[in-house]
Amino acid sequence: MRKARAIQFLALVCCVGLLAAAATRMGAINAGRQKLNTMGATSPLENAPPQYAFFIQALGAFRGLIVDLAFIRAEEYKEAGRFFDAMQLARWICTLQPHFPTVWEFAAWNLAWNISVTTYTPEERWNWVYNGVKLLRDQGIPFNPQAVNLYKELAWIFNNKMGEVTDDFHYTYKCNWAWRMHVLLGSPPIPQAELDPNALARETSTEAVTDLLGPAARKAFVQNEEKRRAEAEKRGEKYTIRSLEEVTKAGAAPVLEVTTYEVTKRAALERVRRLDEAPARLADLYRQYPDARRMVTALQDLDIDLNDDPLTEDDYWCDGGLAFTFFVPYRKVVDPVSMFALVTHEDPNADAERVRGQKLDAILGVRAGNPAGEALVHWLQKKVLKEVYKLDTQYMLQVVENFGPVDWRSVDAHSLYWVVRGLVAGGETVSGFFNDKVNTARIMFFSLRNLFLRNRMIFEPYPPKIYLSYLNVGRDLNFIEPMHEAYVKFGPLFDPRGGTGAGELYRIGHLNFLSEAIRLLYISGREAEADHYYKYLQQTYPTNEQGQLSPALSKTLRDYVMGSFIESIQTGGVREFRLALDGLLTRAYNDLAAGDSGQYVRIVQRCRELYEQYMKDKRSAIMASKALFSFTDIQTDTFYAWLAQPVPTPMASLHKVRLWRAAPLFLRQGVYDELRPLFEAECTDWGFDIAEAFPEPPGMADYRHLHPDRRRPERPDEVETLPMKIGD
Amino acid sequence: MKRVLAIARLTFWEGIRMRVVLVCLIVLVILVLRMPFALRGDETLAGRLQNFLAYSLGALGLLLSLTTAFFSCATLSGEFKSRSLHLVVTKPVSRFEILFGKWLGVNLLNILILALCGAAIYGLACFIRSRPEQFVRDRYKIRDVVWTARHAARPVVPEKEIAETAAARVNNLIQQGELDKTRRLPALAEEISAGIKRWRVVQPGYVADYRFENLTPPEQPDTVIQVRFKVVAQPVPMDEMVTIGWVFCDPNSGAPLSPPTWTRERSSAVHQFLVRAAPVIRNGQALLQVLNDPARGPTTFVFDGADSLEILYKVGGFELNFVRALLIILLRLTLLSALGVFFSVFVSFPVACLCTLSFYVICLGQPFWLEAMGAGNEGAAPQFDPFGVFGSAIRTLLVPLVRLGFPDFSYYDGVDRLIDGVYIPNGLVVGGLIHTLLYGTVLLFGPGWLIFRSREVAEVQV
Repeated sequence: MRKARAIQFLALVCCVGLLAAAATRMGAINAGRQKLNTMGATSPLENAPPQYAFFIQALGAFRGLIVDLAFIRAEEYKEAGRFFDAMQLARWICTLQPHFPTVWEFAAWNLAWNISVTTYTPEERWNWVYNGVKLLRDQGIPFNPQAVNLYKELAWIFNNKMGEVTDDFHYTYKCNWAWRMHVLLGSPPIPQAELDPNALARETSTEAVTDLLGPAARKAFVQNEEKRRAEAEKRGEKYTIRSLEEVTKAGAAPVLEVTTYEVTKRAALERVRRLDEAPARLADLYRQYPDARRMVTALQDLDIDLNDDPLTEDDYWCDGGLAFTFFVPYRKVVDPVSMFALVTHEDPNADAERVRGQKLDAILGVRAGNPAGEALVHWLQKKVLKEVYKLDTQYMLQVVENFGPVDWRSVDAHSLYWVVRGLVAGGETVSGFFNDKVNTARIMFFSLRNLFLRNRMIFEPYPPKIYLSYLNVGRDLNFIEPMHEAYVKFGPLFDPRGGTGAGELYRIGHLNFLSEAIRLLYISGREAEADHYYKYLQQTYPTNEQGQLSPALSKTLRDYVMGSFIESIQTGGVREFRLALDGLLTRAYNDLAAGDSGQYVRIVQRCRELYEQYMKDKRSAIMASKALFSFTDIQTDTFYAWLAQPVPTPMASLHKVRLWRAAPLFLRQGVYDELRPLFEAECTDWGFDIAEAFPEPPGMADYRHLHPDRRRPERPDEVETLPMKIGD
Repeated sequence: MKRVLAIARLTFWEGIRMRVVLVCLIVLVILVLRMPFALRGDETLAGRLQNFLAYSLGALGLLLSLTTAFFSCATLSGEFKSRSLHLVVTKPVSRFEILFGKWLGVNLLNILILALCGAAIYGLACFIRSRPEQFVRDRYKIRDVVWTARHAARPVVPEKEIAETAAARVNNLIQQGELDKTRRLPALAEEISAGIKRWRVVQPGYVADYRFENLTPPEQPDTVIQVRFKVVAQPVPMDEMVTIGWVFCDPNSGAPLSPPTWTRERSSAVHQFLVRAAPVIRNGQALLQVLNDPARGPTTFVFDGADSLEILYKVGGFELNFVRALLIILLRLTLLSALGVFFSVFVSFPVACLCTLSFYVICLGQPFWLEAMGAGNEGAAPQFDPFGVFGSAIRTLLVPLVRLGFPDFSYYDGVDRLIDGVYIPNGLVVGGLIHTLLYGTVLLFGPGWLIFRSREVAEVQV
């Protein structure tokens, strides 16, 4: 008995001793966890739902071991294509380790990138990609609000998976996201129509706003110190230490009065500010607008129950949810009739929604400008943004203030938003993981580039099949300045080699970007801005990479721009000139189809100038047989070619419809008879009403009488020849 | 036989009363009932169903194995300990009958639990199957991928053409004097082997034809078959993704039946897609063309391994497959029960449990253990050998022991096949029968009986 007691006592002493020894290692273990970013600032049990709390408590330290095994197994299942098993394990890993950001990253990546590509229908693809978004946005980030890599991952799904064109179904993703935001917020404001004059007085200077990229860039700058020194020594130069302020000051662009940009931005800011200033709770709304109480009560007759209860995405989008009972009919009332709805009669719900929308408007009086109705809509929009899409209007304001008038229907606007949130959250992170911040900041560049390329958006939803909606994106000149600012401000800081302007690393990218920006601004009639960037280009990048003077930059602005369309007006042949003109006119027609008639007119004017200049310069040299057609003929021919191209989808056909309905009469009259059979065939294929889609231009009888034949008179040597050179 | 049945009946009721069995049963019931609602898989209905089948049958197999191990070890050793065996052995019952009765009793209980749980799992699987699906494809997937029994057809190697090409090439080399006549046969074998490898390779800019034969015609016009593949890209692109074109052609004329479908997948991972069977299976044949467009990525595709390209088509129903999967689980349990009874003949309950469970763990992970001890890696240098310089000596002893002494449970497993909708062949069940049931009974009724017969149950003091 005594022996047994002795053994028990010895075992107890051993246990205590081992525990004490293990406790001495806790400091080192926690330091390692912190270094690897596996430790959140909050307690694992904080805000944890019951089932999470149960597993965390029940398994204790064995959680880590189980998670490791589950991770290995999930990877194996993934390799074997057993995604259902991999996902179930990933879900358990998330339950066991909710405060370990990597597990959320792993699961979301699997959903959005791996599982999604195993499916081949638009609905399924979108479902998986959006599940990845929801997992991060609704669960991962709330559990780990300081984990930069989760924000980065979320932004990357928006930027790369949805925004780029590498995924076959990228159009589906863009349409689905645009639809969600379109239903809620509608099209972006038209500056002249919506800008509140009072907003001008509250003008915000872009220089004064919080510098969001700053912390990451400053770290990059400090870290690159040694690399800069090595690069300078490699070049045989003496290295001088420069402060961050010196570099920033040297790289900063001269201040520019960008009127169109500023006006558009102010309108966009005003739109978001109205949402931001909307009351957070119904009681506050009633206090400000007592009439809103009556409206909320009246809306109950339409089965719309507005309250302060939390709103989930499933509740919002279900049958009878606010998306369908409130916002879709509301859009029918406040938005113009879409072209798609005009030419098709496929959506059986459209009329019912319109009637419902009218009832809504009768209660809210939005079209009549009832401030209480508008405030109620803003309150609801803010609520949905916050509770369904986890979008904070404060951050939305910051995005517009810092980067420009984003269209929130664009996926790139949201990649920018989540990057901004990630960088702000990362500023408070316990780990200070440098690489995550720089990589996150890089997505900001990608997002801005995409916004420049695609932020001008025409979206006409087709709710029965959203992926068949009409989505036309184009370059947005309002993102030239933000992109340029990002280049000159942050390029040198990320680049260890130094250099002027955006630094050596981004030199080519910046140069190409500016060249395109100058060209676009010039042909858009924004010559002052084009001239500003051209001067910057001449001053900052006067030489090419070999150090030789760049001949292209010694020209006048006009020649520089025109030279980029035609290699040289002075040396180009008729064919080259015609090709350049066709290219410009095609762009003009694209703009017209996208609803930008102003841009169309400006480009056509530029083309006319070019044409007249060319004819004047070359009159003596052009032989009669190779003379260009009249400018009207060229316009008509290009118009014809644009409309005659085969279309694989109803959306492409709709693009034609938009151009047709917007094009000048003389163009339509010139091609109508020839294109009529094609129009009929397309309308039959896609179920369009031809009378609405391609109506016969007025005055066709007279036109036919006056122009029995569009052919030119025959010429003896109508043969294609090599381009004629000056001096031939 | 009556005596055997009487002992079996007593053992069966003993099992019913045993607490450890009861606990395992309760846990099992809770798990199986909870799983349909807790498991979401990849959130498709097919994924949920597959997940449920995998976890419920996995839990059933594991918990019943543990129950069997404990119960079979306890039944005889308990009687030794409580000396109730003295009452039995004094009766006109042979030792063989006691062993057989005990083993039979344990397995009767197993059969009952397995049947009840199997029926419950089947019922719940039917319930999941009847839920509304999220996507149209999900319905096809459940019907033709999960709730079915499919055979995996592999492309027919054009041996004749490859042999002819190889022979021509070898003859040409001999004629040119580059190869000695005496080396003809080995050279031919090498050429044929290289030809088969080349046949599995699709170079950039090339199209490869793969013919599948003996396919079952589809039952319904919308029946789908599944193409499963694993392509290894050489060289591997930066993003590890490869774009592959697929066209089904008329097996007779070779004319394409549709424009190519392009898939973009990760190299070296298993992928699959569904195809409607009716247009592509003609006279039991299908011809699949694989396109490698250099414009979409200049990399070579290699279908590395016999199972790297398969067409899975229906050959049977889910129910029979399900029964076979349960049967394989039962065979495992009979082995474990035989082992438990065998060990309890000559060691105490804890030791018998330890031995039985160790045996079970080794059988479960047999490929892992063999890999860990370096089986198949015989020629490795000592620095890469897990046992260093003693590697070959240890392997000479251990590898045959593990291979012959421990059945490979991962091979004799019907659950993976069942959830993948793959037909469980009768051969596998028979193989399982030999490697598990026969193995266990031989062990129990051979050495087990001999030891038991010669064992002194009670010390006789005069």
